[in-house]
Amino acid sequence: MALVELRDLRQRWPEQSADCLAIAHFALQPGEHLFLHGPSGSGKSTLLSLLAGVLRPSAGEIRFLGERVDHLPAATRDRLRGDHIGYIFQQFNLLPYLSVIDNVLLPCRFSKLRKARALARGAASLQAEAQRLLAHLDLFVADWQKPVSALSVGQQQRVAAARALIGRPELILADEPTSALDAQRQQDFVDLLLREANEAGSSLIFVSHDRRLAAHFGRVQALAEFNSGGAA
Amino acid sequence: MKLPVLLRLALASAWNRRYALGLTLFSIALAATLLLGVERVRAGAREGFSSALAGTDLVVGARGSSVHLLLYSVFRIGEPTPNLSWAAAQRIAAHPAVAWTVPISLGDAHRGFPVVGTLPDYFKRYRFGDGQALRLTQGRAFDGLFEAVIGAGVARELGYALDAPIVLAHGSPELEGAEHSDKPFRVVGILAPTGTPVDRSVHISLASMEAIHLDWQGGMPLPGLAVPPELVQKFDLTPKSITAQLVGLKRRSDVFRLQRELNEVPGEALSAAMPGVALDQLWQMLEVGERALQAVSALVAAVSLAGLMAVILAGLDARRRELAILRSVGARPREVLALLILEGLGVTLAGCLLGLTLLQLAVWLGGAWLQSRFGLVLAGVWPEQAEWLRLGGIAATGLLASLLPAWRAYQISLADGLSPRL
Repeated sequence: MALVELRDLRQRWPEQSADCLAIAHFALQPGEHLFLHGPSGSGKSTLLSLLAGVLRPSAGEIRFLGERVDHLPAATRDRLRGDHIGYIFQQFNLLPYLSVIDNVLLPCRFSKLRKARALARGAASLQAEAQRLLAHLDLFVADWQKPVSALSVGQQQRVAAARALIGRPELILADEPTSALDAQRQQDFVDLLLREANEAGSSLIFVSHDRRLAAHFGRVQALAEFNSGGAA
Repeated sequence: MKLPVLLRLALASAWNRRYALGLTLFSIALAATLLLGVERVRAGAREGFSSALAGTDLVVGARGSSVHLLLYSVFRIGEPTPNLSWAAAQRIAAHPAVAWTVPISLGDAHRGFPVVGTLPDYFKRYRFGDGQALRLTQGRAFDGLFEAVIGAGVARELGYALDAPIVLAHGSPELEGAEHSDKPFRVVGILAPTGTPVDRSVHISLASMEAIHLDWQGGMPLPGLAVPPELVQKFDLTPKSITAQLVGLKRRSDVFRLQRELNEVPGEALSAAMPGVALDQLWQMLEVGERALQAVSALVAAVSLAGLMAVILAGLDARRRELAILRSVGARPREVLALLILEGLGVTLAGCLLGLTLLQLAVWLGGAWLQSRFGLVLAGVWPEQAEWLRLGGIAATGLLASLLPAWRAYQISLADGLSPRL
């Protein structure tokens, strides 16, 4: 069974004459890592918002693990997102008033499932699990203790990756997470993210306009390949 | 189960913006202090006035306004009232319904403190608070000529002890005229503090009052006539007139009847005032002023809360990123709403609490001073029901004020979703 499946999905903004997204069929298998590229404004972020359950499509179906989720009430979709999806923004991923560890643990505060899973594989505590993930992402004790504003952009993005990975959600959505990094660090970040997503068993949709980063992904697609909407 | 999480987030987030929020909190605290303080001073003033005279059923003076009479004869505030004749005072004292009378004769002063000419009965009859009697901490009541009993405030401020010689001056405390330096007095007693005008008075006998004015006329010493203190005994020291007379009745129920009778007595025109009623009239006169004070402090509170709203609203656009991050980890828009309400309510409540603390601190540090200096009794260290209501009013308005920013945040988080527009 596909992890996520879209059928006859259409998305149109109010006061616009054309659909920005029109997807006859799209599916992502469990554990699959998709590199999704396309020019700016082609609807990549809209697609992510639909997959994350923040937006509801104008028409069509969204299935998550076989269940239709597009018609669920907003509160249920919010809970599903907290339970099953990790999200990495382009930049400014962290709450400046929380410590690094508390930023990583944020999903566990909102989702019992993520908390339970974070503790499931023999982690002594949530803190220990957060520290394990951070260490895997090359962030060490000295970095955890800094205020998040003192971290470099690259470090902040890795903390964001740890937050997306904690509690092993089924799906990680990354919206151009490397665009604020310099070229050298971009590939390092992608490799770390892929490795950890693999270890967590999470599927990944990595959105970027920079195709040089696609090398290590199992599946590489342009949005235009399955989206017939969008004038741009 | 989410509430503790939201509370922690709200706290951490607020701490991150502590300077702007701290200033707002402080202005709310000051508003709360002001709102409660005005109320307390108002209540304290009333309490101080009402507790200054107890057990006296009527205050009788020459015909005039009863508020004026009470203010001048008991509180020694305002312009002198006309005197009533000693003969009239004697007739009142002999009235079958009257249990006791105490004369009060004003007009002299000592270094800013009014001098009260009266009889030794004053110390027995005068009651204040809930019926407490005057008490001497040192010495005794006067019984001879040129002896004075001073209030606690006089003793403290002028540093007088027993046997201190004092010279009285003619005229009101504000406008002291020539001194009666030929007839000095001696302090024979010092009263315990009462928080009433008694503390600020110098008490002498009516005969002494008469004696120092033997060689005076119309407020001036008579030229060429000087009666040395040794010779005053040879004169008749019965007063011709007094300022007012405190009257206690055998049965309180006679008070209306006697009041009417005195007001209508033929011959000398008299006024008999019931202290409680006269004070009520005074409050009615002061009510406009009190209302204005309350309105001003309510306005200050409203401005502070508007400030709170402005601070939270102004910060919202900068927090769109924060709201999107919370949404991405599963926070619902209504949790974002709750977050903002918690913040506004928290700041308001903390402000109220700080305001209350400031007020208690002020009462604790300055209460004794206020009481001795102005007769303001800021009693009840713990806020009373009316104050809780006021605090509740501020808190409720604070909640309302935080609803607008919260609603805005709710809409932002719905519209932005995971892509904050910056």
